[in-house]
Amino acid sequence: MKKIIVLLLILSLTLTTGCWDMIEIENRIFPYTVTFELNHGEDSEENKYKISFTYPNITALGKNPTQEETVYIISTTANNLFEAVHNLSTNIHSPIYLKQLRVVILEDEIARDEKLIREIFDSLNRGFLINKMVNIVVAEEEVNNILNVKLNSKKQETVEGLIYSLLRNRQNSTRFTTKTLKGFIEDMDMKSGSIVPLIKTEGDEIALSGGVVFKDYRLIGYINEEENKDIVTLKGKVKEDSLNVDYNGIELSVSITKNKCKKKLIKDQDNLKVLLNIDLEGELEEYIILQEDGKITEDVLKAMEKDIEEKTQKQLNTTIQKIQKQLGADILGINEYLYKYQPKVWENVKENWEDVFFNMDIDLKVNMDIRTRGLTK
Amino acid sequence: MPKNIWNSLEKNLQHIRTLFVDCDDLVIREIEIGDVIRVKMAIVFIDGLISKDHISEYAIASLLSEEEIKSLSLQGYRTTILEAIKKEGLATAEISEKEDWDSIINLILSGDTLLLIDNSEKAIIIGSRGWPSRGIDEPKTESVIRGPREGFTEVMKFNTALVRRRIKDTKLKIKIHQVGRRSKTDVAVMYIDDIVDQKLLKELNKRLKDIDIDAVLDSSILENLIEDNYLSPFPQLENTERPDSVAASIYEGRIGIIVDNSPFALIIPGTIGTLLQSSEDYYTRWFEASVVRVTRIAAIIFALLASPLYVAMTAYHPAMLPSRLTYSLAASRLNVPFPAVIEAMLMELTMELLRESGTRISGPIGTTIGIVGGLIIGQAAVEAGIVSPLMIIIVAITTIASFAIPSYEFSAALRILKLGFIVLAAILGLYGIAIGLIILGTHLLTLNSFGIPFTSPYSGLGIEDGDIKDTLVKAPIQRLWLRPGFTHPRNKKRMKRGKKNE
Amino acid sequence: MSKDLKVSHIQIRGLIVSSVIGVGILSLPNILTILLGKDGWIAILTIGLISIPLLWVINQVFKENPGKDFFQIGRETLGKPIFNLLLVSLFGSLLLYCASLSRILGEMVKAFLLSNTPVEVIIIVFILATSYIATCEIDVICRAGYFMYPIIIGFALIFVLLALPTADFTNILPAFQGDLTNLPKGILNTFFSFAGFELIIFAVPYAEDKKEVLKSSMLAILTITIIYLSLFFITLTQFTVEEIQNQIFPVLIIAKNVDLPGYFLQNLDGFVVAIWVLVIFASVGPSYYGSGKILSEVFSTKSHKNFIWLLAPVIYFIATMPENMIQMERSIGRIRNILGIISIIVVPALIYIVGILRRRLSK
Repeated sequence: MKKIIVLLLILSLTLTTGCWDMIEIENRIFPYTVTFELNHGEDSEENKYKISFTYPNITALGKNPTQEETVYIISTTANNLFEAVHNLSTNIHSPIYLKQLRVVILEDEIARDEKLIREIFDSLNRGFLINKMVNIVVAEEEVNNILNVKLNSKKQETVEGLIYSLLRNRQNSTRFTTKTLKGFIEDMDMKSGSIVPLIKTEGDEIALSGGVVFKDYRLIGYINEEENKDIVTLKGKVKEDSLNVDYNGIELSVSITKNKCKKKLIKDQDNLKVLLNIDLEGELEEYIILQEDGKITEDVLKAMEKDIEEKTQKQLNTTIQKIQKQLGADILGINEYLYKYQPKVWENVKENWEDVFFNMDIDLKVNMDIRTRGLTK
Repeated sequence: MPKNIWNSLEKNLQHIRTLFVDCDDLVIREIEIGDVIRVKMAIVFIDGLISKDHISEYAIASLLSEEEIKSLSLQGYRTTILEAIKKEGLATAEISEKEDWDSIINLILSGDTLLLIDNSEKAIIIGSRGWPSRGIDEPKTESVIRGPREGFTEVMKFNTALVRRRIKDTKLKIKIHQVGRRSKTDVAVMYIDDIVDQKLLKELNKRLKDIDIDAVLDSSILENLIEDNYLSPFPQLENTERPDSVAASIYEGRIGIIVDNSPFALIIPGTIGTLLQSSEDYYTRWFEASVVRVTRIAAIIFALLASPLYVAMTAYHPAMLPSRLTYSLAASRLNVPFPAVIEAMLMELTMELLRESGTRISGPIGTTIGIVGGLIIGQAAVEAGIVSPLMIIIVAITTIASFAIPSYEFSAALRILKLGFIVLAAILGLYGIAIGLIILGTHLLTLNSFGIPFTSPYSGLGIEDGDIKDTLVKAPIQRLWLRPGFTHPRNKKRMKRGKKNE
Repeated sequence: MSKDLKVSHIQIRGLIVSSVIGVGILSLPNILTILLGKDGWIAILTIGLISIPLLWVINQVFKENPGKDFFQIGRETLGKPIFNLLLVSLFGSLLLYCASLSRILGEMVKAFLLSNTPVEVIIIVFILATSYIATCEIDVICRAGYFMYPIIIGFALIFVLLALPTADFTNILPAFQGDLTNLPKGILNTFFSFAGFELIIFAVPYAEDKKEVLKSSMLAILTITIIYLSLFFITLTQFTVEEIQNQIFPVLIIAKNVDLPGYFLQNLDGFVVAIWVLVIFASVGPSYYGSGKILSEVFSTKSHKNFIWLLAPVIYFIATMPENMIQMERSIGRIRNILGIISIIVVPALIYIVGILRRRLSK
């Protein structure tokens, strides 16, 4: 009997004072995007950033939506992410819960400042709350424009956010490369470069195209969609894309189904020399309907392949030049290759990798295989 | 009370009349037979407990018929009257001689008829039990799609007969004990002598002897008296209404107990493995039976943890839900005034009320109330905005899952414990559920059923090759050539280990 | 021997696996990669091998003295005063093990599951829940060990399977580049992730089939080694070395990366921590029981139940004394390590050796 009384006492005590963490699900706010921009207002001394959260309006979801606006945006100025959360708690009705965060948008001005980037990324990485697979995106222009467009966009996806849905769309695999928090930090640790997708407005809509290049936690350059596609091809990570080539005056379109890249060390003294073997496999999508002599024989296929190889090689070489000489950031992952497969060489060069990368020879060999030519001959 | 009967018929009858004063269902029929020497006899029985036709036709009629009596009366010695009647005078099937009052009174009260003979030291007890009883019917709580549809009734002798029909072996032993000081309920202990573990048998006999109680009205009372831990919410003996289940268990080396006046037989030892088996598993094909067994484990987890997990996930850890679910859950809960805990408790208690009222009212009204209650109350609650739709779904699935567990008492224990889990989840979220599981698991691990761990065959003691094959999944019968080992049977092989497709 | 308790060799196997796998594995990749780089697995393998002779010694001790339990053997071989001293060290190591595990559990739960709940509440609830099983006898504890054994293995398997899609196997290269001079230190640190198997000294005397016990314990150590190795490799394939060196609980962070197909659940780290509570329970339970049993032996009482209740506040205070994890490692951790070495290595070896000597002398 006594035990039961003691138990009941403990239970009533805990039920009345306890449940420290219990917050009902409709009483929380789950932002899915957070944006960082530099604060140009009056309090720019104390608060470095202007941080905005985007979250869906749950009264607009569900069976009987009572409100029209599907997305809300709230902002505040603060010195870091967590301070922003606490600042906002005086203005809004529910606590903010960051675990559903999906996208982090950084203004490009911030991206140029190494110290700020390092701080931001440490705050994202250290805490337990933020998922390591959040996507990082850099904004080319004023973040406000982007946010306003988001609000008014007709293609608004209420639940997970337009940007996230864009990022996840597989068919975009070459227009920009997605970058997660974990991937970004890994790249920076390895002293390679990292590409982060670029977001900008196109009229009334948002678009992700191309990217920015980071090195040592600092923005050092921009790449456009073409260059992005080349880089993805060089890394061997194309998932779905089509290749357009002018073959003998006829527009040839091949869809790429498989893409691999093998690196090989050719010379390891003085100037390093690395050979990149790019394998492409594709299917013929468009040729032309010819009246006579229209059948595509094996020779024709081989000729097509060779043509594609040459043209692609030229294109890729241009991009490699840009990466190596202009940007000087190893986005291609050559240092990773050396670190894993040629550790002894890596030991020698890792100290001044920047110079070595700048001076090394990168040879290219493209190999194209057209597997099928479709259903017609 | 004197120990033995007297010689004088009058004195005996007087004694009986005093004992049974105000028992108006006692009938005393006095007879006088013989022509030269008149022998006085009296037949004593309790009306309603005997089959009167039987006594009339075979006992009284044969006694009163002329031919025998003439020869009897000619012989005339006292003892031979008794002997003569015993050997030639009665046409009934079962008679015995008794002289001590205790057993005579006991047998009268059990439905036998007493034949007192004047000037005789002993009396004859005629077996005449027959009373109105329920016919053999399909057991209401355990119906199967395929398999025998016989169920136990309240008469012990018929029940043991139903089991005996399925085990035609002289090694099947049926020992009858009597428990309860005033009820003197017959308890039949059945086992196969060369398979069962003698230690188990001895333990059971000892516990039965140690019972000192007024009455044992149902097998459940006996169950509570002989089990290891009566305070635990979980049953430690199996109970069943089906004779084929009892027979199958006896074949496995377990012991079946049939209690008079109760259609539920007990089987010891009862462990988690056996409580989760239903006889249907053995009568349907192994493929489906295996999947069904695995589903039962899922049913247990659902019945216990579905509501607490809902409370924990929504209130404490919404991060674990996929984002779409999070937003739609939040949207659906917007107008609900209560926190998730109160919602869950409300719905669970409503479910308990519905279930309780459903058992009180039988017949068509009962089923209607079940359906009406479930659907309409749930729907109305959602419309009124008191609970969220997801809660209704979870409560419904939980209830259905708890009915999928073969042992009613086990699922009842889980149902009640679920309320405790909801409280724990409300205080400490997922961690609270983990703590609850720790405490519950410890309790289950400490339970013993007659010395055998309750969590057999998952307890590691004495398991054989065949145990997992028969509990977690259901292997086809060709693979089950050994008996389950946790009961330590003496004779392990039950089937010839045949080749694959003979 | 006190009671009619029976324990099977499979249960002993389960007991070893469930007591040893506790919190050690969570931070093991971290420590090992700092010391040895990607070759940390060598340390794991070495410890697995070293444990085998230790097990053999324990088994021999019980084989030479059949029918007696650990305390009787110790008293007879070493004499009461010395044995009591050793018992004190064993008691200390078990108690500190319980306290440090409870503290780590509290920190983990607070970080991943309940951020606003005071950590004292988490710890005290855990200690009370574990005290239930500590008041039972060794056969229940072995049953619990057997019960947790497939759960732990299944959990490790599922973990590995879920991490496979995002695994980058080339991360294991380059191999054999690590600094092998750190191997002894690495071994020392791994040793305490393997600690826990000395608890079988309470169980072996009651084992039903003693011949199988040695084989079962070897199998248990093999299983533990395989699980640790696979978790180590999986951690390597998920992150780069620098990342592992920076994180305290790399194994849990893997759960953050996992994306279940079909979006059934996400952010699985909370879920993993909840299951981990069960695993830690399986480690703390036997140790708690052991410390209670030792006290009951030293003070010659019949049952250890009262000591369990007395020890609960003691464990709580020790667990909440240090201010943070770093301090805990330094203060409690160090004492525990020293006592642990004494109890795991010195005590059985001493009993064994002295036993042999006595037998020789008496001949």
